[in-house]
Amino acid sequence: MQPPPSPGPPAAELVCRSAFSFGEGASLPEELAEQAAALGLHSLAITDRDAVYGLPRAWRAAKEHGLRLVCGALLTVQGGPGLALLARDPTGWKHLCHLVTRARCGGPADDECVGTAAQRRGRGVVKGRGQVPLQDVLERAQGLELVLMGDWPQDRASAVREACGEHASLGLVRRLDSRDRERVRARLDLSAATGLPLVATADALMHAPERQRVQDLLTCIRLHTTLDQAGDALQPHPGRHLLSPAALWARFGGEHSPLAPAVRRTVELAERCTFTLAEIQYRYPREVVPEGWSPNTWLRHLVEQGCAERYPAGTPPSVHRQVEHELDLIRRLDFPAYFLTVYDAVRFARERGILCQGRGSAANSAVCYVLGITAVDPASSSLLFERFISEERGEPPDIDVDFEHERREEVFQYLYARYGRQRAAMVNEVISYRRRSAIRDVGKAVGLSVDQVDRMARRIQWFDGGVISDAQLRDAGMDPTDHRVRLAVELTDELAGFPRHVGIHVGGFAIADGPLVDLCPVEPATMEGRTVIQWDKDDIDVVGFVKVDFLSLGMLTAIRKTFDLVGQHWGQPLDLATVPSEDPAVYEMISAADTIGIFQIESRAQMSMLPRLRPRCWYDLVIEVSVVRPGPIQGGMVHPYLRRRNGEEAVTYAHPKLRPILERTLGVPIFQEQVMAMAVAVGGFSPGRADQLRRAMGAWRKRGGLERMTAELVQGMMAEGIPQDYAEQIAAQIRGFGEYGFPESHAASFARLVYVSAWLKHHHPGAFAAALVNSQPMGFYAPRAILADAQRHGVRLLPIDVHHSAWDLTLEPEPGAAPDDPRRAVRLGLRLVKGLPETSAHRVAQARTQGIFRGVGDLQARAGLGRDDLLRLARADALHALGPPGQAWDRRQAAWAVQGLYDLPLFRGLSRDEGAAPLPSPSPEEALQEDYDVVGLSVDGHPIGLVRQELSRRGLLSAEQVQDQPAEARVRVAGMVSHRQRPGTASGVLFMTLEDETGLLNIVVKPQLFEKQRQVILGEGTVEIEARVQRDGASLSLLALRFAPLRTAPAVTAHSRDFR
Amino acid sequence: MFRYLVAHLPAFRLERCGWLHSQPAALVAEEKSALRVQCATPAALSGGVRRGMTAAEARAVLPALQVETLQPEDEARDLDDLAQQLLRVSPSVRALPPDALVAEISRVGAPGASSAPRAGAERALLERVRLRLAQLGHRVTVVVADDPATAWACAAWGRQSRVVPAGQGAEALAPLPLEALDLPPREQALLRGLGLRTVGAFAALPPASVVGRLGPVAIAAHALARGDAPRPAIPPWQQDQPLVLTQPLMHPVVEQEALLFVLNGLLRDAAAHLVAADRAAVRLLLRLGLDPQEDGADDGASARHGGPTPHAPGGVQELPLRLGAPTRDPRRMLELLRARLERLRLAGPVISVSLELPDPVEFTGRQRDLLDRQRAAEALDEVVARLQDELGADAVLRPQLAPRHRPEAAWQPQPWSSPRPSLLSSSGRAAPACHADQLGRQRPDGSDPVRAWEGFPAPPSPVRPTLLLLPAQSVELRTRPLGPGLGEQPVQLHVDGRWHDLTDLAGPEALAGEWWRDGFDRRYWRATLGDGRRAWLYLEEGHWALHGWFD
Repeated sequence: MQPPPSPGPPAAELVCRSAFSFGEGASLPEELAEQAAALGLHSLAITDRDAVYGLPRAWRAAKEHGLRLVCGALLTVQGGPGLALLARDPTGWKHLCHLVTRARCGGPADDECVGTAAQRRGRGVVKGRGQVPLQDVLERAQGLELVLMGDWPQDRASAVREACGEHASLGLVRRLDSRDRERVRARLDLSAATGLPLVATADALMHAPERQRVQDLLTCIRLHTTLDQAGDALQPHPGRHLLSPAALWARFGGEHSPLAPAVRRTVELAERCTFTLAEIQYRYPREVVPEGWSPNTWLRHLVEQGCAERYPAGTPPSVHRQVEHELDLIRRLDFPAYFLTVYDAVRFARERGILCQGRGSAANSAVCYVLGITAVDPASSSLLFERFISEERGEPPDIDVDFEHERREEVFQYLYARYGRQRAAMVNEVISYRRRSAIRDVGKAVGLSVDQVDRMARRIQWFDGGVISDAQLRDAGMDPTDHRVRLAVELTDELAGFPRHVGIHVGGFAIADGPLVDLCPVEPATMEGRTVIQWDKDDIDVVGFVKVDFLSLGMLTAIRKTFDLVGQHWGQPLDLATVPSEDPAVYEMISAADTIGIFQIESRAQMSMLPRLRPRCWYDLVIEVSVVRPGPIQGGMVHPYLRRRNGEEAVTYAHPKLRPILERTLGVPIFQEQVMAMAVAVGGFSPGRADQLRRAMGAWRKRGGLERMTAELVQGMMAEGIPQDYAEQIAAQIRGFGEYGFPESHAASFARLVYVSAWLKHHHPGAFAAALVNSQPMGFYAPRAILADAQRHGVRLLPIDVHHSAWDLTLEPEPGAAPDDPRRAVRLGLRLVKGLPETSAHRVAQARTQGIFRGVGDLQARAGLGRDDLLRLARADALHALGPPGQAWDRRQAAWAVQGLYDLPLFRGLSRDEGAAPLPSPSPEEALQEDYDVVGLSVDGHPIGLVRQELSRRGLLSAEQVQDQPAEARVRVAGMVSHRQRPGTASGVLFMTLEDETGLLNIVVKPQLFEKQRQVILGEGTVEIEARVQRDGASLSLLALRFAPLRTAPAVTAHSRDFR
Repeated sequence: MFRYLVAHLPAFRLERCGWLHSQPAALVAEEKSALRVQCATPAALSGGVRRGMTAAEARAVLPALQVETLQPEDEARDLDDLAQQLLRVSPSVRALPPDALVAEISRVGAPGASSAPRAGAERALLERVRLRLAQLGHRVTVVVADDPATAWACAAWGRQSRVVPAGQGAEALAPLPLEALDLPPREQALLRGLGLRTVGAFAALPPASVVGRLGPVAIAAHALARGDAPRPAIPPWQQDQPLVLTQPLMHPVVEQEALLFVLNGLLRDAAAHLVAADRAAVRLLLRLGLDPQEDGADDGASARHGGPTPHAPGGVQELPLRLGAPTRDPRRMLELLRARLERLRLAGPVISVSLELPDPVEFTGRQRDLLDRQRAAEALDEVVARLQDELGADAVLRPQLAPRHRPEAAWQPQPWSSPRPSLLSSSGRAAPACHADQLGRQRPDGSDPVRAWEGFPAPPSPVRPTLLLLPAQSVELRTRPLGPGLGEQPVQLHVDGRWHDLTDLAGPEALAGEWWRDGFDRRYWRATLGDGRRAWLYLEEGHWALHGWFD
């Protein structure tokens, strides 16, 4: 869009803050750019406070609207007010980045300072507080235009003039307040005294005066106050918006006013600033290539090596062709260094024994496979390399690699060490207001009570795309006609989509050949030891940076720990590649939904699908992990797929062109890729447009805009003769994918981990369960459920004991077994003792190497434990072996003895001894209660087991007995509630997992019953249920008919994992 | 030997909110960064609501639940009010927040009498207290025992009103659950973990083994449980507590002068306490205990004449007095009291005089100067004190600047003197909580870095007239346009029946805002009239108004 011809003389706005000056600017960078273009401004500079967060977004919008964008920032200078920096050329940009980094890190933008700022971060250095000494600014002023804002003392202003000459100006504002005249006069005086020319600006905070409401609101949020109490902290009038050239001229008195040169100067300065973000020169790191090689030849060399390793018997011709094709494309697009950078990190992890595996679209690449980055063999699957890199898109590829969650930090530290903090940093993530977070802040600002805000926020579900309706308000007990409530709703709508704060991306790393601070400001992150660049991952695509995602995955930790235990106890070396493939017994176990602890398919929803789908091979697992997802569920694709797979329905296609796309999933679209391909084949989308659709799905929550595209797709499909309801189904599925959908390549990577974890569970249940618990927190089930499941698979559990237990759960030969008996029991570890620090546990293990403990005093003295830690051990019954000789010591006697120890260093190990105290021995119920309280589980049994006789007498069945019941049978069961879930896709149905000593049961609670008995359903830890057996194939669940609290059960409390 | 009465009101916190037992309702307060249930009605409890649940959880369990946010100050005040109801039981009645009252009743029954009549008197007193509180609509359990802790434990956990005979505290406590000892959570958990469920089981532990294993509070609790707790004496005056001085009279008194004589002595004692503690009084509360024998003697009269503080016979007549400025001069206090007493109609013969000095503040002293302006200040204090007496403490106000953009709202009335220093700082804004987590957020010292930046070093205050017209006066004005987009400029003003030329114009100053209430949007001008007066004018929605005059 061309700016409309401006009738008067031109003008530019050079000082303007966007919403990325948090709490100050009230317009998005895009809005500012669009408005500036519409007003016919010559140029617009975005100058956020100590930040450039918004520049890529402004740049994108400026390009679209034909606006000249000047890149700048507003710097907080020590002992002076603000200073706007405008980048004239690439040198100026570099200096700007350095200065902003300086402001953020509180020191020069060198390696040391950025590093120490990152270390300090956790201890109170606050972003944006560091003010930059003026001297530093003047030393780095080359290539910059400086605009002095606010009241500068004359000597400092003169110093700026001397150092920067004509590239420094004095900002002149008219605020329309009672001091305007004085202010203008003071500026004119200062200008005369120092020789600094004046430049006019509106010092804008928003694109249009209508935003004053939001600006006031943001001020209140920033100051934690309400509109009523904010008083003069708010702007006195809505004048700080972008002005058209005519209005800017008018504000400064017109062309004949003495201030006219200041307005004219806006255009002069803007014309000097020719720098654009396109000039940023990003280069891949070069040290990944050894001397004498080029990135291309070195990559080829590594690929050839990798082929030889992956295919000892010779590379299959199809793979060879694919590799050549990819290498050619990588060379043409100049990405070899990128692949080498990722390879380098993966190589490091391998050498350290850290499990890792690529996921996402990179799994479509044969090159990634032979380099060891991904684990999906191209020989056994069909790849869509163009999904990964396409010449048409011309964008850098996106490689995501999962590492063990406990050891990803080692990889990060390696990257920092290898490239230096100047060259490696994490990527920023902008967190925007959603309705729910907006309503909390808005509600407080308009003065609603905390309780009212709470009620409103809870009612506003994130999937309510539209506005907050009156009905919803009444539902929440609010009066929709109330002025404040109305106001809160309106303002919430206005605020939604605004940036709220910046965080750190989960795993995105930016690595460059030179210092990153030359390209973009770097700042310490909220997390200690992290630095981030100021741009988020979408933004760095715009400026052509390459980022890699190094994510963490708990299952990789658990798998590696299982491998270690298996190697240790059975001498069987295993890794991801050597786990025997396609073991029918493993698939048998999976098909029986015996999957507690297995990656991705352990949830209730997955478990109920498994017996129906009955996976028989790796590709079935790919489908299994993809199909129980909001996308296919919302698209209504699950049941058609199951019917077709079971031969109950013919495989048909809505259009002949869909056959090649949907053949491998029996004509039912399941993967994102398929939907994309469908959009191109029958929706009238160009491949580029389809890619935009893919991006919109990924970011629709952040940006919106998906609705328009799906409507377009439905139209396109109907034009091709596809029935409307089918097209609408596809559209629903796309929206579902926007929530959580798996691309096929991603599912393929995950399916390997599904198989490996299932294999381990089947062949080494004890080691697998121990490793899972040792990798907590992760997964769906608590240690209690994992270990109970292991017990049901014949694993023996041994109690916690200071004479045997380490921090982690370990394996031991079963007590009394022959020395060559390969069976192993799981010894519970001290990590299960609630509140016990890891260091204390290690000290116990260390002290034990010098012989057994001869009493609590001995333990205290040798392990150097405090009384609190000893008490925790006593309560966990870990000290039962330390009693006086020949005396059975229960946990209470132990605790009393511990309490009698002197807790002073000099008296360590001495204890008061007044003989036994009259303490009652714990009953079995009480012991169980203590175990559940302190350890979270008990090896002695299950609370429900204690009352089994009584339950049987009353005709209640165990989980095991229920399995033999026919469909539609009415049964009564009892147990502890271990999970409650109400997924958004289940229209109000609540799913509950009930646990007893024999296993787990899935309970389905219909909304009517839930409403009728919600107190029991939500409030009771142990319940008895009358229910009807439902069978779907081999999958069994109970449809609840009536709930009652289980009064006979011991009052054991175990926390259920609710609504995760 | 001391005896104590404790009245425990298990549902007090709910009753004061006016909830019925059958209503599902709960009180919540912020705790561990969420609103959590503090207490709930029986209906709510039977619906599954539990203490410590978040408000959201509680509502999930019981959607019909009504929730109110706890107001600790209001609650404490109401409990104090209730304590006043028991004043005739004992002058030393105190509130035990959140839901109990305690009174020292050692003098009940004839001193030195044998235990049987004494027990009878205690029982009668207990019944009276129970009845009185029940009449006021409270569920209540009343227990009399040797020490307040035993009495409280028996009342709160025994749930039965009773007199615990002297020396039998341990037996009374033994069957109660361990929680009745109100131990610190850590020790409570420890003892529970040892399988001890009742006070009696705890008491059975040998004292020697308790020392060294448990903390001082638990050791004291153990002694209490064993019945050998140290008996509390009358506590010395704690300087943050009200100072209370009581003088029982030998004979009922009705003459003002006799009362002043007694008061003189009490005020001197009070002054001595204040000097010793380096404190000064800002309020006085005079309590006159009336003779219960004189039932209804003057009842009708006082009701007819609407005396200042009519009271039921045999009750207490109170006379609050607010001092203009902190003082500890007994003569001055006596003078003020004399003035008040002169106007007071006694509701009956007085048998005791009690003087309470609530909220004593630190004494700051005063400098005397040559011309003794002190006296003028004291005179003002007296005027203010009299006005407050006549019109109520909240009726005497002074204006203070408030940081608002709307000129007519840029001040607010403040009570002349609050007993405590005002919560509002000189800028008039309560210091907000500090969160140092976000860019540009409030600093710990309360300053706002963003504002500090705007007009470094400090924003100049806006120019405002000395005399503000309320409401603004609508005026006629002649103007000329200023130029495109800049509105118009005043030229002549019609005021006092004629046109004045305007010179030395300054403006426009734009002031707008408060859009969330009744918004305003004005352009202000300063202008000098021909006669030298300087006016403050504004244009709003096409109408001109005169809003004030500069000096």
